[in-house]
Amino acid sequence: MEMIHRYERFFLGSTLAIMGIALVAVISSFFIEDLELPSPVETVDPAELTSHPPFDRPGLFEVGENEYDAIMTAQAWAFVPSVIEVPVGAKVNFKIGATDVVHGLIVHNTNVNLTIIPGQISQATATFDEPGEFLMVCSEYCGIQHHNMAGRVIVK
Amino acid sequence: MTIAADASKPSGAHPVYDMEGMVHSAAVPMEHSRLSAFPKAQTRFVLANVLLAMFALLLGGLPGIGQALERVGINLYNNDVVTAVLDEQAAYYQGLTLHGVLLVIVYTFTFANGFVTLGTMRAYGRPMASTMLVQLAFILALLGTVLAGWAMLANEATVLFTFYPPLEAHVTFYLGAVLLVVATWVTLINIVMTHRQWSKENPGERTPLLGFMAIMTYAMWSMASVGIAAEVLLLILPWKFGWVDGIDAQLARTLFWLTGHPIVYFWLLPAYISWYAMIPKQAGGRLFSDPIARFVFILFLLLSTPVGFHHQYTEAGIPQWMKNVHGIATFAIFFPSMITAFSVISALENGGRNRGGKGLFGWIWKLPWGNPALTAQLHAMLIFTLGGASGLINASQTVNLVVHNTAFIVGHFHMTIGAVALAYIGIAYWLIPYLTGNNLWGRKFALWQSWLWFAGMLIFARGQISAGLQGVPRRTAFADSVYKDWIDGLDMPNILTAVGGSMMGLSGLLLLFVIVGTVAGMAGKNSNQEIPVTETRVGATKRIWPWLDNYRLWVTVAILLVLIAYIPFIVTYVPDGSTSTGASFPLY
Repeated sequence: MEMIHRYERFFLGSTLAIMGIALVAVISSFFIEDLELPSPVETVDPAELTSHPPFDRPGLFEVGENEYDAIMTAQAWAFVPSVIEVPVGAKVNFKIGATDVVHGLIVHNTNVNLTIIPGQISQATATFDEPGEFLMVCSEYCGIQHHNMAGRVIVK
Repeated sequence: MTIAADASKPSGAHPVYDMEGMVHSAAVPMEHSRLSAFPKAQTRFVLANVLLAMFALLLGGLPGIGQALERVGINLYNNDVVTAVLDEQAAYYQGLTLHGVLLVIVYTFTFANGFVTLGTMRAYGRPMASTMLVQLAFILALLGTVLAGWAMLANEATVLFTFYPPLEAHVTFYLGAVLLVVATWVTLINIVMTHRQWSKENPGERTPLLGFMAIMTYAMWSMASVGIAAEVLLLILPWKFGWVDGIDAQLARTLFWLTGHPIVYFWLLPAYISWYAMIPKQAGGRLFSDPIARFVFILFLLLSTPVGFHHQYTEAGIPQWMKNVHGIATFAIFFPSMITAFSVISALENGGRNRGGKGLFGWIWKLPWGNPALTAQLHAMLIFTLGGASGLINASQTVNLVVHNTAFIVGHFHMTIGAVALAYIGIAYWLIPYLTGNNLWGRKFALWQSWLWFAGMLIFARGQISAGLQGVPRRTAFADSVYKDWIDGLDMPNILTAVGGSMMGLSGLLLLFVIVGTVAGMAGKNSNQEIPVTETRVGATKRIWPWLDNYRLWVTVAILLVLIAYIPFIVTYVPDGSTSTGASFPLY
């Protein structure tokens, strides 16, 4: 009897091979696909957020050719602004902070998936190539009206 | 030609085989497996832990049924009976908090404390070193459950089991959580003391496998729980007591998830103890390899903790490169679970063939499917396989952005912790009879319970996974939401969720009958029951990989890995201006 049976060796070898393939896929997604996860932008005292530019005037601002900054705040239990209207093909940079507790922002059918932590400004970008309405939902429990914290991106 | 073909039928005793297949030493004689071998002052408290666990499981499961039915518009939360117990406005989230805390903290901690304590006694063939600590662990857990339970039932802690600050709960909630964690530390101390007593009397002997796994499980958890301890003691309580003005929400979350991933392994490893050391015996086979089992537990000690950022991909306060490091490390934990898959399946195949199974898959049907203790754990293994696989999906950064904080995650972790819960139930099907000296009552009910849980969990999880891919957020009273009609394609997922959840509810009812019937002794007495402990094909003799038993080395390496994984964040994180005081009005 061997210490590690050859069947076991074969199984473990196959497992390592599968892990190797998964690792290559994940690592290439960092570089080849230029994956961007939310990263540090800036920190702001949550109590001061609504008087801290640009979050003192939340809204949609054109910053380039069909490119916009959506400056937003999240508080119990609403996004401000809660409706964003952009033309087809618009690139939108969502910049959002929370004033009270932790919230989340998922914009449906995009890769925008942010956990909005009080004190941290979160940022993510999406391009809206199709006309239609894209639901924005709060994805982190924030109190008893959490399920009514929502908004829309309207693409015309 | 199969691996198991060379295995002979196991005999009644518990010999350990060395590499040549020869009986090496009978580590612990069989009579040490009987309840009468251990002091009642200790085993009564083991039973108390197991019964508290089952109570938490059944009570915590109740709100789960409400959540599942809510998906198809059946609202139990405005029912008079429910509003007599829960707050009218907060009922859904209050129930969700109870569901989480009772199931993933109270149920798992108390069951592990009881089961692993008994496993330690069996491993060393002696009582625990301190009867006082056995009792203290239970009393602390009970007190913690009462404190946190009061806060939750009084709607003073509707913060879900993750209690992310600055969402604020009553101070008793945090104290309750602390006591529950301290109960696990007390258990570790007792396990280590018992191990020391034994090794003093048996110098140079290999630690029995069960004892080794008990130590590794609790060492891993105790190291990992430092994160949550620091969060509560250094950040939350000073803020609650008004010693500081606010709390750093990002730092608190990071400490939470330092513990929040390995806590999954603290749930899982007691089940793995059963799957490695007991299931082969119950299936009529032998464990493939003792040293490999030790190696697996060492890998869990090393790899469970330095991976917490994979729960935090969507948080702005952590730089991407650090998340990538943790993400890659996460894939490494796949490895010990795959070794486990091999070991467990080979032991099962061995058992099935010993029982007359033929052909490639014929052994499966020869397993003792009539034994609910085994059947429930086989079901748990199948569910967990899917739970683990979906975990790899979540760990991939690209896909995580699609599924994070959606119902997909709910589907995933119900197939991990929901599998562990079923494994514990399976263990309870021999453990409660063993501890009470009563036969298991309602064997058929117990089998139905297992099949219903198995099918219900998979159906439920399938519904949640589909709902999540359609964009339904997790932890949300969906049927009450403004957007419930704005998301397409949810009819089938919602029905699956409700059907699966109801099946598990029914399963819980059957479990209640079986536990009550067994504890009440409705099937008669039997004091000859034993703790099932397997023989091994390759035993751990003194010659084989002695470095495996070097606890100091492995704990040191584990701590180093955690430091390497977290120091870059700790030294670069700038909390300037990010302390938070929460909302200006009550949120629940």
